[in-house]
Amino acid sequence: MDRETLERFRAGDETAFKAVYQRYGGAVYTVALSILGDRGLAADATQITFVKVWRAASTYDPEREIAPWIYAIARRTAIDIYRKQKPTAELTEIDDATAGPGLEDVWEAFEVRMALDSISDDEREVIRLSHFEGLSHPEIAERLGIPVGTVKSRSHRAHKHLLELLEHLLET
Amino acid sequence: MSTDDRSSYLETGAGDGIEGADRIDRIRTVLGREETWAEPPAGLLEDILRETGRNVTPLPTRSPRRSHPGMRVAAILALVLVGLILILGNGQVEEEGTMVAMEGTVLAPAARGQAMVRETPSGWYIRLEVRGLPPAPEGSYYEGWLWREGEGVSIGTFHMRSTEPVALWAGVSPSDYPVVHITLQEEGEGPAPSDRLMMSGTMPDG
Repeated sequence: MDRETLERFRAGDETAFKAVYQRYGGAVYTVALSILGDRGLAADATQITFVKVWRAASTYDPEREIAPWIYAIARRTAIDIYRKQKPTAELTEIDDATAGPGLEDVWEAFEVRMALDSISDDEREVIRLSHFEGLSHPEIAERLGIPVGTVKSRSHRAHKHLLELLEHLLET
Repeated sequence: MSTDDRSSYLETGAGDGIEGADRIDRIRTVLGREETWAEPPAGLLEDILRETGRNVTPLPTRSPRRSHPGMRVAAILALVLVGLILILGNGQVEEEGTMVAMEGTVLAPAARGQAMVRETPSGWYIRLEVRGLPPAPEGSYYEGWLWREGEGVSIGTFHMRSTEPVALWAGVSPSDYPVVHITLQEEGEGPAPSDRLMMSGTMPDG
């Protein structure tokens, strides 16, 4: 997200806020759904997250990346809702202080979702059909109505592109 | 180790001696999860803007209308059956403004709370903190109003399905419209205020 948009977001510009939502709304929803496992609660968490983001916009430092800031608000919001829903059960699994593998999964989900939202729709769809729906290249070709060769080249390009965006995850 | 080898491993999961294979496996796992691909509900951005007080346009002033008695009874029964006490937490940021004590009417006798009214350069911000007001029944919603004799101005709608305080905005002065009303509205019945008054409060000097 460009610096000018972030400056306008910080200044309370509604168009810039909408741009922030368009860029990070899906990733925040992914975080919320990963923690809460319920679409309705995840929608509530996403809404509350962005209301907080809006209200705290003036405290955001445009010199810093906005994604980790939004992620922290989203995770905290979802955990708060989780605790209200299940006040006595399984808190240690999601407790902020434990920083266990569950939270690492959530961070990875956020990063992967942001990367997916950065690539073209064509590339995204071929990755979704392959990994989420488990389709083979011929099955994807049939589903999309394109030659198998096109699927192969598009899939190769899409995965290479995705990996470039997620390179930092491989270094941790 | 070439980038092609690793992207091929990401694509197929096949390959020997791939550097970072365990990390790539984790990404492959994430790609197979439903939450990675799930989209937030359509209209969520509009809900967010509404809750932040954006896009809330004051309505023309109107008189309250009568609702069908059966519908009124149904709304009351629905509220009684829900019977859920929802307590809104305090905001993390201290805010200064005029405090209005809000009381539930006979339609919501358990409802209590306060409205903080603060003037801003773009209008009056009203932060509603309420407990005991159940989530609006399916197909209905709550609407806030600033009111004076016989006429009111909408200050926004909400459904109480969140644990957050409700943010409302007014384009008219609370000194001219000193009463805060919360009504229960039915979807599809138009913008006029219903006579299902759930909560009410008056400015200290109103």
